[in-house]
Amino acid sequence: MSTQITLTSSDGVDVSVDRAVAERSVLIKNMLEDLGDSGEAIPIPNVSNRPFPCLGCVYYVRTSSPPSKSNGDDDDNRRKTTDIDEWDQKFMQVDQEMLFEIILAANYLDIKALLDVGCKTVANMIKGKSPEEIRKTFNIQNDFTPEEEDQIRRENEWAEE
Amino acid sequence: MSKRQREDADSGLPPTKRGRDAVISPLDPLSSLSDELLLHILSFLPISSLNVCQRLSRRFHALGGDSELWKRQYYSQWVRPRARRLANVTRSAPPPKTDYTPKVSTWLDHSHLAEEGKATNWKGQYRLRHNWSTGVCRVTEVELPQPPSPPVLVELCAGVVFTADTSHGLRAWGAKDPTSCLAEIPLSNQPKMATVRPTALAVSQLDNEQEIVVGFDDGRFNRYIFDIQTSRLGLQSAHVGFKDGAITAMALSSPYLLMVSQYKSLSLYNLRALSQESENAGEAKYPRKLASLNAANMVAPMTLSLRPSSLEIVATIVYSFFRIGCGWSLGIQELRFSKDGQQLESRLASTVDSQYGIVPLRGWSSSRIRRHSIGIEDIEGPSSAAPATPSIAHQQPPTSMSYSHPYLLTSHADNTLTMYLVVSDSRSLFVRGGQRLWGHTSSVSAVQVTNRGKAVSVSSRGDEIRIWELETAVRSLGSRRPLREENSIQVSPENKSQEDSGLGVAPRGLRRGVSDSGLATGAPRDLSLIHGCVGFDEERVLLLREKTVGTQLLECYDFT
Amino acid sequence: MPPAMPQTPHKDDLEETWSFLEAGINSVMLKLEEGVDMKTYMALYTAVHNFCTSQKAVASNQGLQAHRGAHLLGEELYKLLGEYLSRHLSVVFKESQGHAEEALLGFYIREWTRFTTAAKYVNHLFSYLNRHWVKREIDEGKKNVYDVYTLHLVKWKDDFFEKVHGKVMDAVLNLIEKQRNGETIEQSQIKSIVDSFVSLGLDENDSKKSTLEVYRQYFQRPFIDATRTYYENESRQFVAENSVVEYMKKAEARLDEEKARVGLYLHPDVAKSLTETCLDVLVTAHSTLLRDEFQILLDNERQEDLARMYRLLSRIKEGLDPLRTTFENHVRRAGLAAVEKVASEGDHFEPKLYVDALLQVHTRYQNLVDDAFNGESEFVRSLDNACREFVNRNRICKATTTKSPELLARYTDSLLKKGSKAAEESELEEMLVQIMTVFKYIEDKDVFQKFYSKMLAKRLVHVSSVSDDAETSMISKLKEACGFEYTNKLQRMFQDIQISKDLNASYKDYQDKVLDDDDRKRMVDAHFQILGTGFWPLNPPTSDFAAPVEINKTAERFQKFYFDKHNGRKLTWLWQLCKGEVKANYIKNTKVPYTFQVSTYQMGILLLFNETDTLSYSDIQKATTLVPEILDPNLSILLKAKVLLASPEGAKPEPSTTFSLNYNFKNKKIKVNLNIQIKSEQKVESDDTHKTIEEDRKLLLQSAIVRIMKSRKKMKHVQLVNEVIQQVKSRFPPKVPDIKKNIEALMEKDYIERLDGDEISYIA
Repeated sequence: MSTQITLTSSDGVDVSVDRAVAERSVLIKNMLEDLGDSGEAIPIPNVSNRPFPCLGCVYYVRTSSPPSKSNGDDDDNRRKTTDIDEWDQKFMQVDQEMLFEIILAANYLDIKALLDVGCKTVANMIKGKSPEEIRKTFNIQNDFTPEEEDQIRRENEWAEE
Repeated sequence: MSKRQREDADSGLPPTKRGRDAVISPLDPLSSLSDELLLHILSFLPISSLNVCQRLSRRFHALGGDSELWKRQYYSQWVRPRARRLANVTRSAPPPKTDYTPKVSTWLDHSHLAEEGKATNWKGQYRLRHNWSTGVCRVTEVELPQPPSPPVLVELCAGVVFTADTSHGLRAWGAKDPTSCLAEIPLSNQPKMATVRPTALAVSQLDNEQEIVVGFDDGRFNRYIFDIQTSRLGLQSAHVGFKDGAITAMALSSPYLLMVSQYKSLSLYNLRALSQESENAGEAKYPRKLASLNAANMVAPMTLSLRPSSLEIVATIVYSFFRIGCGWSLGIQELRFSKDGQQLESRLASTVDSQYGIVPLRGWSSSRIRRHSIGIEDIEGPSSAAPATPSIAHQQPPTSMSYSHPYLLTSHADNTLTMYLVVSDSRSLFVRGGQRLWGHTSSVSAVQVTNRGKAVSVSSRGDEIRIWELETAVRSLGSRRPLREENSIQVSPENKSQEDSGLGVAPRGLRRGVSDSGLATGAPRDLSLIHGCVGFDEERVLLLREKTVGTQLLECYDFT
Repeated sequence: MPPAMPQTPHKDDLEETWSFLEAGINSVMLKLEEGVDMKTYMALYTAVHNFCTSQKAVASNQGLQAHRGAHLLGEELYKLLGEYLSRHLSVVFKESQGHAEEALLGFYIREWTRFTTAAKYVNHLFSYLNRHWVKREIDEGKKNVYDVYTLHLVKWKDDFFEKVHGKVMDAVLNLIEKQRNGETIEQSQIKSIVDSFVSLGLDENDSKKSTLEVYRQYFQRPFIDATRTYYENESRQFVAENSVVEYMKKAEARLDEEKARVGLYLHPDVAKSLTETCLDVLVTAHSTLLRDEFQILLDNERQEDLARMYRLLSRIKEGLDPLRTTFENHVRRAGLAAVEKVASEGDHFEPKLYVDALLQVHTRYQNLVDDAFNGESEFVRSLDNACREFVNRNRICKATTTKSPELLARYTDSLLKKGSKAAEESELEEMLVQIMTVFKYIEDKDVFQKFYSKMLAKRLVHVSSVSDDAETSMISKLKEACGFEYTNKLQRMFQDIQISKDLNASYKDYQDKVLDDDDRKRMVDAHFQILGTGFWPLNPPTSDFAAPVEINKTAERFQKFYFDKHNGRKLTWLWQLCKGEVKANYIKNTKVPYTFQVSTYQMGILLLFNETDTLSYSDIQKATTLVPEILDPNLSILLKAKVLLASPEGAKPEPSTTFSLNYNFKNKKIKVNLNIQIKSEQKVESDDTHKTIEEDRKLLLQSAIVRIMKSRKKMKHVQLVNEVIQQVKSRFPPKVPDIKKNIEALMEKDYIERLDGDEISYIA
């Protein structure tokens, strides 16, 4: 059995990765389980080329570190802290477009650890900011009427720090 | 079909090296994510940020209020810490699993929040708990004109306040908005008997209605039903309870009713069962009197409690008595009845040992079986082991007491409360440990406790209301070290504190602690007295305040 | 260039998405063997993913209140998938109607395998739906929403299984019946069916867990019912045509067979109820029949069949209880019969005969219990009960229960006395062990003790023990069985003999120092034994005795030596137990003079003839001071042995008789033993022993009463009696009237007093 798997992105670029790395994606793991490894390139129709090599290399490197963080056992502790370890932080220093593409790709490929890191990064971008700042960061359209906005502000006063 | 978005408005990042640039990116990359992804992102945020997110846009308003998100927050804030505490208290190794599980029925006793087919507003629940824990609430006052004598009787049950007095009869008020009366019914349908005075009031929740029983000074009692849907009050039946005197206290747990007369007669009724005494032709066929006893020696104040279980009914009378050496103590008389009124057992316990700090041995003969008589028995303790002075000694009788098994609380004029834990099982009845509760800065006039260990106490001038979480205090039971404020929180009505403080822009939800009690004395309410009537449910605290001028104020503290 | 990627449908279009998915699922369901190509696989997954993430515009103009929060997509797909599966399974059901029996099983298993394999694929294809929409529905506490794989199982159960399980089970049960009838069947088919039924048990509360509910209801229950019916019929028929012994073999084989069946192709969960059912039908239902056979098997000593019956009945509740009573009675009867046989041979039988008869019965049934009844403790107890009965209450001890311990003690004595036949030490040891077996059942252990100590004393005094080792071994066995107190005296007796040996040695040294030549000439070579009065069951001589001068001198010298050593002690000479040897130098017809082994009394008589040849009866009596009861029998022995001659000739020893020395004495042996026990003595001794037993028992009872009252101070009469029984029953079974008598006696002696209300109090 070959240990190398070829993945083809939506724009037709082939990437070759270790099977163990590819199997960090539950989608690919299931598929290989169901169909067997025919040696064919696996088409990944929803992921474009751009974050694709990143995924490959991330998990290539990451295989050397234990994947303990990726298990969901201590769900609450994981959720409580938006701390991201240094390596992940560095990895996530990408432009916003790339970040969202990574999140989408991780979600599609079902790579839980990567999805968490991506979402945490976005959460960190939200945390501590005022609504206006957040809107600005992500370019979110405010579709409230002024009355509505005021009403919501009052409703949520109790939880302010 | 690719979902790539382009966003270059204020990314501030170096230009991307992409081959294709014909794609028109939506302006808002975040909002273009599907709900499940946004929920995942939001699940990493603290509640303050969740609330901020709700202000971003309509979509974020919906997502930020998502029930599953708040359910998780509710769990980690209120359920898990409690689970850990309980594990510590019982020291039962191994501690229960405290990982989050979406199944509410496994959350200790929060299963009532997830009834079949009912979508719980988890954010609302979170906020309610949050407000209770910080004492934040809104207060509404209703003035009851022309204070009748005896004073108005008040009960709060599942969001409805019931009052009974001579002039207005029985009235129901919505606790959410107690300014308007929902329903009212005169206490007597015969106008000539208008002088009848209500002396006791008890309410019990049924499926879609509430059952109210009013006791009168001539020993009669009436049974009413309040229909929650239609907000209508109706008289169901009228009965003679005691032929010789006023009904002074009642406990109702439908269909069972326990009452005591001013001459210390005690009766237990089943309101649904046919009466056997058919010789009184004029009387209605219901209810059946199950048992009748005499309680010659009991001293007020006293409180009644009824606990029906699947097999039996436990009626408890807690009364106070003076005992040389350790001052005012409590006696607990527990009567067990079978469902058909057969008295199974009568046993007695007192708080004397706990006041001396003695930990009773299990099954020590503090309970004895005695039939058809109630009274203070001189309960002998193992005198050799007792310290010379009791750690808890009250030289004045308690100002009020509340018993909701297993918690027994008394309030005292010396600014404290005393908590006892009653142990009652098939083998014995005894009091486990006594504990003084400190926190009030003036005389405490009323206390009310629930069987989950939440208690509300009020100082006599009504300017200080405290909420206690006693479940954790059980741990230090029996130690001579008194409990301090950490187990309680003072209620601070946000709308009132502003007006009272006179500081104009006082921060909302200001917690009025010890330091500003001086401020309160200057306020016009300082002369009012709490009438010793307090009640609360899941969402509200109700207080009856009496002003010296003669008016009565009904105050409702709303924590939602 | 690989084959073109199938075009995924438009993400917002439900109809398009679903028809694309349906085609894909169809090929997974029906044509999986042709394989699914990777592109289609990915396209199907992507179609689900795209649909769920399509961000369909939810009407956002509905104000701000009462939001459930997020709105996840996927419900439509889930519904459509469910409907598809229902349709698919209704086709499967239609096809199934064309099959029956084994063909139906084959069909079911084929379809099940195909369906579940496909379900695994579909579950993976729909995993995005599982991860988000389904998870959220479950989190919110919705019932009837399952992950996609479970949905397949639920649909299978609702739309197919519910309609066919009856027929499937009928086929399964027919197959099993065939196998029970001895045919070979395809076991793997049943195994597959079981597995399928087990998989269908879903836990309503947690879809990840499974329960055995479906299996229990639809498989286990009919299976157990069929098993019951089958064996009810079979056993009824078999019993009617065959013997009980044959039936037991059959039942045992069937039980083993069913046990094996569980391991072969059933779920282990069934084991318990299957075994219970089989036992109920095969054993419990016929237990009366089996038990009726028990006596017959015992009578015929059919050990193997008894063992089989034991195995069968031991597996049902209270199955063995009736057997125990039968067994106990049987053993008791066997014991009594054996004793009867011994008794029929007359009054004077060897103790060995009696003990052997008891032992033989015990051994036989002990072996039976061990081999056939697995040494089960309740049967051991029945055996013990029976043995206790026939050891203590049989024909030989009809008059008194003390006969058994006496005979046992005598038998022991015969083994331990010099000249016993059991020469080998190991053999002797084995016999002692056997004696202990009988001893265990003896109720009057004090009687045994009495006789045993008497005989031990004799063996020790007369130095006639077979070996010291055997004696100690026996004493330690008794000690083990009855405790230190029981053997205390025996041990002390043994010690005294050892001490005496040392004493004699030092006496010899002493003699060498103090004797002058004259003394030496007239010295008697003597051996002394000092026996503690309290420990030895010996009485002082019943007659005065003037010892001959020679002996007297020696005795006095020893006494002097002894009192020097142990001042203040008192020595009583037990002349009746002493013996010696005298040389008959006066008889000249042999080269070597005869040596007479004689008792001290005989010696006293014979030494008188050193001075004269003829003595009258009164001379002898005057000289020896022996009472006639002692003197007469001893003279008789001497006359009988012709050492002395009576005159007139043939006269009995009486005052008118004179005795003269027989110079013409002749004997084949040089050593002539004249020290023969007199017959009448033996009988007297035995009676005496019985008398002392009564006396000792009284003391034992009284000391027990005093001991109890001393510790309790106050006690009810009844309680006291019970307590006394408890305390002394290890020695002998006390009689209540005896206890009462002794309580009265103690009251008279003011040890205790009677209070009001039947209470007794101790007087300090």
